[in-house]
Amino acid sequence: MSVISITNTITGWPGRKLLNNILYVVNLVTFSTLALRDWLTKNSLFKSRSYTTTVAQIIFTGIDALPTITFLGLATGFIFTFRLLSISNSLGGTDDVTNLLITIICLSVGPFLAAIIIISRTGSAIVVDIGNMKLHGEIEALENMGININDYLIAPRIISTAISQLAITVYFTVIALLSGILISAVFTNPTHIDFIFRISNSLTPYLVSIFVIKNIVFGYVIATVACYNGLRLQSSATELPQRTTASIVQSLSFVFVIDSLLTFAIFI
Amino acid sequence: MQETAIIQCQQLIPGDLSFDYQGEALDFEIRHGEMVSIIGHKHAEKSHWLKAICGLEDPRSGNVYLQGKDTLNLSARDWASTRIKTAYLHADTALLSAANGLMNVLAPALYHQLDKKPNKQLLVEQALEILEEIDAGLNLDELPAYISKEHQFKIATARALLLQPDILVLDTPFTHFDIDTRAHFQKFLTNRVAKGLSLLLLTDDIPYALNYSDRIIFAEKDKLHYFNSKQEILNSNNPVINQYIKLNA
Repeated sequence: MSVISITNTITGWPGRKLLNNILYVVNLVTFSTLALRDWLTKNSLFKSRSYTTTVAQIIFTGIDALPTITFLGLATGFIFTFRLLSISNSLGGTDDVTNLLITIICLSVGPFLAAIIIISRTGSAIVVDIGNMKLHGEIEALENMGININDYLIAPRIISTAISQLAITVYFTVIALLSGILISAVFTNPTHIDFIFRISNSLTPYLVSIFVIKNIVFGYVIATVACYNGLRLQSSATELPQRTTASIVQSLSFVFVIDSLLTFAIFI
Repeated sequence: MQETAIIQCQQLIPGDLSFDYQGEALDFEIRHGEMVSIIGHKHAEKSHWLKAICGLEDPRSGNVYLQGKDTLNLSARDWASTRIKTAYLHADTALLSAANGLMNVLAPALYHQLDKKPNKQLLVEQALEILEEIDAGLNLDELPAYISKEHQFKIATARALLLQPDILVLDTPFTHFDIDTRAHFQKFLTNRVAKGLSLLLLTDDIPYALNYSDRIIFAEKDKLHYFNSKQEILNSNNPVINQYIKLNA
């Protein structure tokens, strides 16, 4: 092997990898856009043919996850909110602490932990569900009866996961803030109870919209990656764990990248 | 004015045959209330012919028209409507694993919003009526994983019929049936044909195909033979066909 070909191989590898990743993102965007287009042309939000699928997915992703979310919210309240409040004297004024709580709990930890729970519970379940349907010929049978898979299976999962991610994060954030503030008020300083009102007064429409957009994008991406990987199964059951793992890793990577990009866009 | 054929094939050769088919292409049409059977040796890959005939497999050559519409140029809306009217089932057609028997029957009809007119309760009654006619002993509360293959096929048939198709295309439908249940299901199919449903059947049950079909297509690996009656095929001079009929009748 000549020096030039070795050099080409070494420099070519990251290039090919980058191109593949860009193409993968393009595929995902196209896939989800087509799914939503097919859904929107046939449905309205609450008069949907796939209403049952959407509701079932919201129940699984949102309501069934509440015990886990509650536990994590309480733990986060104790680990982050309570600790921050207990050292609030050395952090500066009450406004600084309030901003810190909003930035860390509402805009960073909350969406991120909720996304991780949704990736591990819902994302993996969607891949297994759709993958099994494909393996067992259920998807083929549906298509043979004139059922549009995008409209019936994919779009409802994307929409309901996005809605659930937002709802779960709201719930998680409220629990994490309230529990931390209450613990701090009881055990360290009763005046810390005022932070409840300070935080609610400091939530501007701008911050709320960032919160909403971030969570919807997270949910949208997680469900899209999961559905895409589920449908990529060919004919072997051995592909199922591979696709599930791939989906979890890809979703985590996307959440990290999107979080970084949003942080960069908002705070820098 | 002559009615449009439910399925019309012109110079059709399936695209997915595993061998290079050198015989004549298929010219074929089926109209309301007709029953056509495809029989023949396994190596003729009859399932590919059947799928190509009902537009589920791209042809290597030729055209397929469902309700007068060319399957190669169907819009998404036409695809859905033609698929409803041309119901295709094979022996292992899958049911939705997460839904019980009754929901499996109702799901496609609900998706296509057949419940809007006149109403959902009537749709449920229609579904139960079809299921009763197919087999009164079907367990409709269980998930498919706990239902026998035979009953799964019966539920899949009811699911397809609830969409009120013009034609039922069945690929080896009796695979999972025993002798008694097969006879009952065949009677059900014959009754449906008598009421105007068309039936295109790929089967190894030669006596049923010969006795009830209006036309029969015998598929060899490199040739298709057309017969208009049981007598015609029994009088055939082709030794391959004679031997096949003798062995399977």
